[in-house]
Amino acid sequence: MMLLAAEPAIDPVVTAVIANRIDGIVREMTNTLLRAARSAVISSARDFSCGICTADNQLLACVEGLPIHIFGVHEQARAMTTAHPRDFTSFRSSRTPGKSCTIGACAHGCDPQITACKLGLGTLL
Amino acid sequence: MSEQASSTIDPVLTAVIANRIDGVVREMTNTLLRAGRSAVINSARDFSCAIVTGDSQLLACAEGLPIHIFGVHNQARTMAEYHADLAEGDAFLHNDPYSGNTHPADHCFLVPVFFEGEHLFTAAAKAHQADIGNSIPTTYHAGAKDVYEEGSLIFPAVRIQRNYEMIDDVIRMCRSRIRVPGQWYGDFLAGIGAARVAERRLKELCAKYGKEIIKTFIRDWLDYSEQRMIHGIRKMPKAKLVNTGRHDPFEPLLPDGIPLKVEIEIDPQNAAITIDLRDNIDNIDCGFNESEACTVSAVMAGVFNSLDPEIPRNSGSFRRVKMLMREGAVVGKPKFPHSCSVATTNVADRLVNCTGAAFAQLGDGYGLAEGGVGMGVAFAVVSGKDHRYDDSPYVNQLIIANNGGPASACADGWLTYGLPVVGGLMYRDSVEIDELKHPMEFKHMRLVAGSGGAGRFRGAPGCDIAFGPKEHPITVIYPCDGQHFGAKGVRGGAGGTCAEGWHISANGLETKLPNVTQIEIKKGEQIRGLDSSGAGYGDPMQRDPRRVLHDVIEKWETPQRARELYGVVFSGSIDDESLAVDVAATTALRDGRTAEPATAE
Repeated sequence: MMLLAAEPAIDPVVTAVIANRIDGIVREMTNTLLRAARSAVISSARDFSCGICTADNQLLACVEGLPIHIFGVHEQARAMTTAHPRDFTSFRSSRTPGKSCTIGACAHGCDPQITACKLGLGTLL
Repeated sequence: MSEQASSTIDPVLTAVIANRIDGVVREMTNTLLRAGRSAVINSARDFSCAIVTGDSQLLACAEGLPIHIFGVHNQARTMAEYHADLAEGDAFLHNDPYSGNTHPADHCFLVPVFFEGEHLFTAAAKAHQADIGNSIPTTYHAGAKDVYEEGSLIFPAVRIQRNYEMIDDVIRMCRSRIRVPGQWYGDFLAGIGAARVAERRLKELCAKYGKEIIKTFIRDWLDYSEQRMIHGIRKMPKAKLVNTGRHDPFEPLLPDGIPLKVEIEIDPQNAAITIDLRDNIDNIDCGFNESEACTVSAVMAGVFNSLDPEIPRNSGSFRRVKMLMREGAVVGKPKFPHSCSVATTNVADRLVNCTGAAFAQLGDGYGLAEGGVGMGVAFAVVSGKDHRYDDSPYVNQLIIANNGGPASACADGWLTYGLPVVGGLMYRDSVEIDELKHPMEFKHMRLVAGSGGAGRFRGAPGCDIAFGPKEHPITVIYPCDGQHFGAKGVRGGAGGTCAEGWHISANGLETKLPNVTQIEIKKGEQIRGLDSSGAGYGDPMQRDPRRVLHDVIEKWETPQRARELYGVVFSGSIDDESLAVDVAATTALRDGRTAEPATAE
């Protein structure tokens, strides 16, 4: 649940535009992985999924991610933030004036979004 | 050393610093022994500590186990190669048998020690873990056809501390994948602690004497050790020795066992020993392959067993031993991904034996017989659930075997020898402590009279042991050797007896078990094992009759064997404490039988 009080509601059209833009990011992740992967299980069979979670670990978008992979991926994002308390400031504190957003090192730019993707690897050791 | 060390220092000071550094290794050892959580570390001392120089030469290893420690400097080298940003406050975990470690179950903790900004030493503490996350609950996976089936987590010199702070990622990985993670974590902290103790003491040493003197000492000490080795080798005759050995069968993969061949060339003029291991079979699809570290350490142990025990064991003395190894051979350099899960014991034990016994070919007074081998019932990894603690899981290796030691030209075999690769340096568990730590019960433990290989000096006897669970079933896994091929005697000495193992059902029926066994023992059932015994050195007919008398009184030998194998006739009896050697009858019996060679098994 978003703890931060949201700004006043924005235009539903803008909401739809941003939602589609975020889905577009997930598709770009997907294509990157599909084209860059070495094993056939990834590059041919697309046995992987991409998703975007919010900084407070809610699943935001997963477009054509495989259901079994992706519907719980925000729990892994939560495990990441829990395991690295010193390296991740929470969504709320990252917005606190004067505090820097350290997740930027892991995610894209300084956007308070955390990306996560899941792979079915060719060989699971 | 990067800089040239200054001119020689006082030899007395060299000796003082050498002993101080051995003292640091002993302090590391005591730290780990007292702080370790698992019984295999805190009771059995299945670990070793050492100090390596900044340029990756083994400097001191005190009472480290030979198999663990003679190659530990190669792990320090790997650490330095992988980490160009090596800094004070770092610590590393290394258990990769392909980049210098013995086998994955030995977690080696490496701490680079800096003084005035220079990497002068690396402290190494290597401990056999109770569990490493293998695919079955044992740290010795005999059947693993490759590293993947073996299943251990591998750390090729992975950083675990930076600036004296723990890197939690590695801890989380281990906690997610190693059985009884709390036990592993306690041993992990103890290992780092031991290495940090050495760091503190070595810095004190440097502060006391100054960096230049310490660097000069390192150079001088290694050179002195080399000189001692040169003198030792020069005393030997020039010779080419060939010896063979064989590890037990492992059905169905290796019905004939694993043949071994060691060729040794002693060159007294150049004070060099060359060991050629290239004429050995290729890697095999199971866990019995030797890592390079184990190959080197086992052969080196065999060589040192045949030399003056006062020669320091470090990279200085190692300079005079050249080893020729082949990549992809069962002894030598393993080819990835062949498993080295059992590398520290079975084939390595045979290598120690094969090398040490080869030197006996030089003549009476040289070399030694073969020692008892095999990690059987009393060396098993046991696991299960503990009914006393809410059925919480446990896993640990028992170290309660003795495996009789080999005879030498001047001494009988050491009783609590353990294995050739540890040479009596490990501790044995206590029955009571094992029963406290794990929900198990020992039924008996007794020496087997007359089991030591006869000789002018005899091998030590083996032990007979049985145990079972108190409540829940107990999983017992062991990769035993020495059940088919016992230890061989030298120079007329007899061989040792073989190891054995049985399952005992609730109604007392004994069923013989294969030498490599994984079995579940239920409440009311037992598992029973015999250790193998050590072999003898020299003709038993030449054994001092007073020693035979002592052995019979102590029940290490039987009166029957005393007469048949040793030609010793007694008068009186044990019961009224009047047993004595009948000198005339003994002399007559021995004179009549000197022509017969001793071949008793």
